[in-house]
Amino acid sequence: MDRIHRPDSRPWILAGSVKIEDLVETWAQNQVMTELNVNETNLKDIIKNELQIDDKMLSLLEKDCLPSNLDCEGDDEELYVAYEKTVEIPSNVTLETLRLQKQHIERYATDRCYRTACLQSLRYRNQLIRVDKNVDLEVDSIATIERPVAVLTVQLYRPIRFSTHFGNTHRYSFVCDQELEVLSTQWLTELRDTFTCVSDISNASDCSANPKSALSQTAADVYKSGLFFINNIFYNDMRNQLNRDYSEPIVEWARSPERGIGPFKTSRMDETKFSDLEIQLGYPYLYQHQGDCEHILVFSDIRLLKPSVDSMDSNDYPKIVSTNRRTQVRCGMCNLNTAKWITFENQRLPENPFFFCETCFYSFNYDKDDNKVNSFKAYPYLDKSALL
Amino acid sequence: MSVRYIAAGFRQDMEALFSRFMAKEDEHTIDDRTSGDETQSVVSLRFSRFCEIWREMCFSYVFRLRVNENELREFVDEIYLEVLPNVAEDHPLDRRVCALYLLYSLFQKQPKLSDKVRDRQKIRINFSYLEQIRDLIERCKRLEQLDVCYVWYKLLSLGAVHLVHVSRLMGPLYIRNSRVTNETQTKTDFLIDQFQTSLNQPFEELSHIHEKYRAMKEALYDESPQTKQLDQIQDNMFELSKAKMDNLAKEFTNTAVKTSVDNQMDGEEEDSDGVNQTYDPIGEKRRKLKEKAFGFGIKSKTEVMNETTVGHNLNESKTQTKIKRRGRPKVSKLTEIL
Repeated sequence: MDRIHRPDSRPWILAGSVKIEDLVETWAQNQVMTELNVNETNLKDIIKNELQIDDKMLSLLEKDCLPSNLDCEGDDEELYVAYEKTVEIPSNVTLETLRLQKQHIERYATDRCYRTACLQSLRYRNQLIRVDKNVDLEVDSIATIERPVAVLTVQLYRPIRFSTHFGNTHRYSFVCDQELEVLSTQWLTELRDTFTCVSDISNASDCSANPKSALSQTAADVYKSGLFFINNIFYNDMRNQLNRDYSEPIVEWARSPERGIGPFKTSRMDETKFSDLEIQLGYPYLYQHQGDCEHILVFSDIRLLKPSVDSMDSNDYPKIVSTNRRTQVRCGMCNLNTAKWITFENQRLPENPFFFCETCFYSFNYDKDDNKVNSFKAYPYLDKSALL
Repeated sequence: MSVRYIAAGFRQDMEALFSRFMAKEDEHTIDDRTSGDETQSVVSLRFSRFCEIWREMCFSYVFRLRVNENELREFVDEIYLEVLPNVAEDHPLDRRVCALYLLYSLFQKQPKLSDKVRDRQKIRINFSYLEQIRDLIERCKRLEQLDVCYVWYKLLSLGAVHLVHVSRLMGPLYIRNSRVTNETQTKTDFLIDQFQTSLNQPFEELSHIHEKYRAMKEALYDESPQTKQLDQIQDNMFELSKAKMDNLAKEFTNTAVKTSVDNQMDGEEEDSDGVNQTYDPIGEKRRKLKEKAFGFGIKSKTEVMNETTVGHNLNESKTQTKIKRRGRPKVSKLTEIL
């Protein structure tokens, strides 16, 4: 697959793969637990032991190293500036950073193209950080761990609408739908169960004949199969006996040496932990479900779990750490309410598909006796902005 | 459209802080904590001294003038990555200590983001940096530099450190849509600035001394103009030298190259992960086409000659010039790896 993805020419893909288990082992052998287990409760004891000092000396050290010793005049001033306003640097501040930042803001205010380019180039431009509900850990309850545990940051991207029609020049933008943190000790199925896609929640069948009794069964209840494709291995979800092996035709197709890719292996998602994987950071892997709903999956970071900062309860993982800013899809009729229905192949409408809110859907597509007007297909629609 | 490096100017401020911290002090007395007696000590590595320099420079202001939270978060990530290479073993001890103090101070003084994000940006330390920091701490323990050790353990206890595999986050989410340039932050500009600043003061002092000497001589002797011609130094020598230096610096800056981050990253040693942040082949091609079509103005023959002279003199730089011809103006693109 390297011949297709050309990772050498992609600066966001780290050269060389890493085996998670070996990485954790390397950290463990280098006694990294010493650093990981330092927290606010045991700090004083550790310092006294390491530096061989008494309480009096420790209190002097604490006093000398207080962050309040770094306070400068004007520290509490407003943090962010509106670029439309004129900014002034205090006369006693001669930092080059500030001088250049002022130039940047002045250009920001006058040059719209530059402003747009700057905003679009920001690394965190579209991320919405989620706050943990359990973030306030009680000081007394900070546990220590015997062995390091790796935390992998996984990004799942929105499916891209790919067109093979000649003349269609789409610029595919990668939109990260969700960013999750998962422990190396967890199974791949746990990631799959945590990730929420609109296609899983949507309805599987046409409800136009009887919309008021739309099936309570979601697509995820009907089509339960799925796979991860990581490092030339397909990990299929075969927890249910009726699940299909999505990788079988692909593996068979790739067997021919003329294809130039493969051979691929298969494994089970529920028998593989993240620590068993060998991954390349930044490399585009695949998560496929609902037959043809494909999400690019990227491992963006590997770090070690820190007991005093991260939750030690494995039930809290996989944890969604950020989502994408979503704009609400509005009804195409009234342009006021959020869309709750989507119709296809409706000859009375200028667009296909078309979005309706609850009121407009019934008033346009059904008569007073609740009979369908003309032929079309209708499915309940769940707007992405309503997710998470 | 190229955008400015988000942490432009920080490296200069950081170097200025390091220079002041590493400057040798006169022997002075400090209180010895253990005995309470006054002892003689040279070059203090105390955090209190660092704090003093920080306050004098008003270094907390580096976080100011940001447009929004996203920019601030990215800025903080970048400045941590600027500071971290200075804890490496091949640097002098005082520089390494100052770098650790700077990390601690930047984390502590980092502004709190919005209510939605409680945590501050963490310092991402890979295994290589961790080993170097451990080495530094052990050395400081032997030298009884307790502040350094305390600061490190305090950082760990605050959860400021993320032990990571790679310092930078990977993935297509973190690629840039625009080309990032460091045109206001070239190493050449910075070095020239430093060189100029360092020479200005000695010139002024020498000029002042010469003035006093001249005044004393005139007071003692009644010199004729012919006697003055025997002087080994002209009266206005220092002013002339300073003016020449200023002119040279301006000329060099005008002909200095604009570097892009990707070209710089090839030559830099600080990035231990060896990752290039910007790459956009399609965007690069389009930019070249636009420049070719519209150009950026016609340069005179003298300027072109100067550029080619600069290119020949800089042996290690990769310089490409395009000599302007009549008709459609062409942009001369200069690239340099310092």
